[in-house]
Amino acid sequence: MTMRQYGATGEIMRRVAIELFSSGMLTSAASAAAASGLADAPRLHRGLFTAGVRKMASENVPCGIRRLYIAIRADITERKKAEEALQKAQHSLQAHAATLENTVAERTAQLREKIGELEAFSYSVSHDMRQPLRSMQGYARILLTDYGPKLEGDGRKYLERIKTSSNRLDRLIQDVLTYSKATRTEGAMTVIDLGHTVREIVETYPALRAVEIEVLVGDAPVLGYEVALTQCISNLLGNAVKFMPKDRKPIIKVWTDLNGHFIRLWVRDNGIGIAPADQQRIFDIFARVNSDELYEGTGIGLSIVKKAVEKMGGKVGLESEIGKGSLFWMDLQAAANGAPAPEVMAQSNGANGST
Amino acid sequence: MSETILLVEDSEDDVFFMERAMANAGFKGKLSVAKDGQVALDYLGGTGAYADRQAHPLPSLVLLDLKLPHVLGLDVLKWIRTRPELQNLPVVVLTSSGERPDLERAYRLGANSFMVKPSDAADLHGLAECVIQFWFKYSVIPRSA
Repeated sequence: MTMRQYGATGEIMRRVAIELFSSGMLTSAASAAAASGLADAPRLHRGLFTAGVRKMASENVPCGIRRLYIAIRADITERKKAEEALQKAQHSLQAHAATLENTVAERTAQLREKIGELEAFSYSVSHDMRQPLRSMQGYARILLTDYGPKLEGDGRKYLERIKTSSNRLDRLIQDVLTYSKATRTEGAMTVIDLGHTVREIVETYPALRAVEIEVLVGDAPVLGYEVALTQCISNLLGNAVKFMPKDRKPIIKVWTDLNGHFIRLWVRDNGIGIAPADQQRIFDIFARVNSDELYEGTGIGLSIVKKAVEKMGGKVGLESEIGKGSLFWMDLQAAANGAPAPEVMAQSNGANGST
Repeated sequence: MSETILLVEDSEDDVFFMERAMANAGFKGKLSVAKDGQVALDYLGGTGAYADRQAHPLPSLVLLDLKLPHVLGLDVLKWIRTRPELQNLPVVVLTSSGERPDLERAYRLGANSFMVKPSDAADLHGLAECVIQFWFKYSVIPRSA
């Protein structure tokens, strides 16, 4: 028995219709075609035999009939049209992709240039702006040393004011630089032991050593940039100690817990607290809540924390009650699965030396 | 022995502060000043007026600012290290910005130390004292013939 096909030879046709000479032969032809492996999912419909064709060749189809000619015809007009449309679409897709690639490359180059400009800018800030400032600080100091005793009236006081202001400007410039560095930190983050980092900061910073700080941070590996993370934690701890009523003994507690894929570091203080209205804007650059006379500062510290933590894929936030204290938190990406504090290590600094 | 330090510094104010700090720190030697990179090259190379080594002795230490007119500080440093007679000359980079690329390049080019200029005069005094003690009291440094 021979089965002949019509249509584009050598191509795989998705659907064919087979006209049979006798409708009585349909059933046996269909099952034979299926059994032969030539066709998929054979279907009988109004004297037509349709199937997905797997192999296209002239082959014998044993179906119990001595001589059966099966004509396979495929209408491939639609398919050809579809193919052409597909090809067209592919071409235009490729063209689009090429344009897109160019655009991306262009934008990346522009971005690199911008970053370069920014770096050059911060370099100028650090060098050019601090240069004359250092001169002002230097001469004010020399004046005070050499001529201070000879100055009459308010002369000495005015000189002190010049010195204080130039010192403040210097701090501002340095903080702005730190902020800009935090915004352009890049590269791969490393695994950092949060507990180790916190303890190291508490032990190293003079302002923190004099205060009672309870550190309850166990095994807490996070992903981050070490320099930036150290900056963030020391800013939070520094604030906790700084914003304290004059007559209150600071009690500060630091701990972690697991928050989904993040490790949340908490810093609680018993300081002056932050009014609800100020809690949103406190992370903005230059935002200040208190007067400089009470608590001096540049208003950049918390904005550095926010920027840097976001750079590390985390978040910051706070809860606070005015007069009672604040509770700041930051979420950092956990570097390993598991609870952050299976073994809790306590540490305390301060005059009473309690643990 | 009278020591000579070559201070490569373009800011008159910084020169003044350094002279003062050095004097306060008890430096008895000669503090020569090159006010830009080219002058530093001329001085160290002994070109023109600097050929007179009586008046302009080769320094035993160079304090080098990085941001200089004409020839940049790092290029001065690079040049120094290419000269056989200056190869071992101690060079302390003294700059107002501790930018990381500068820091790394300076050490790679053979700086012996990298210091950021303190903004406070008291710190500058401390720095001058430290430099004098370290290089002229406790360190043994190679002397040019």
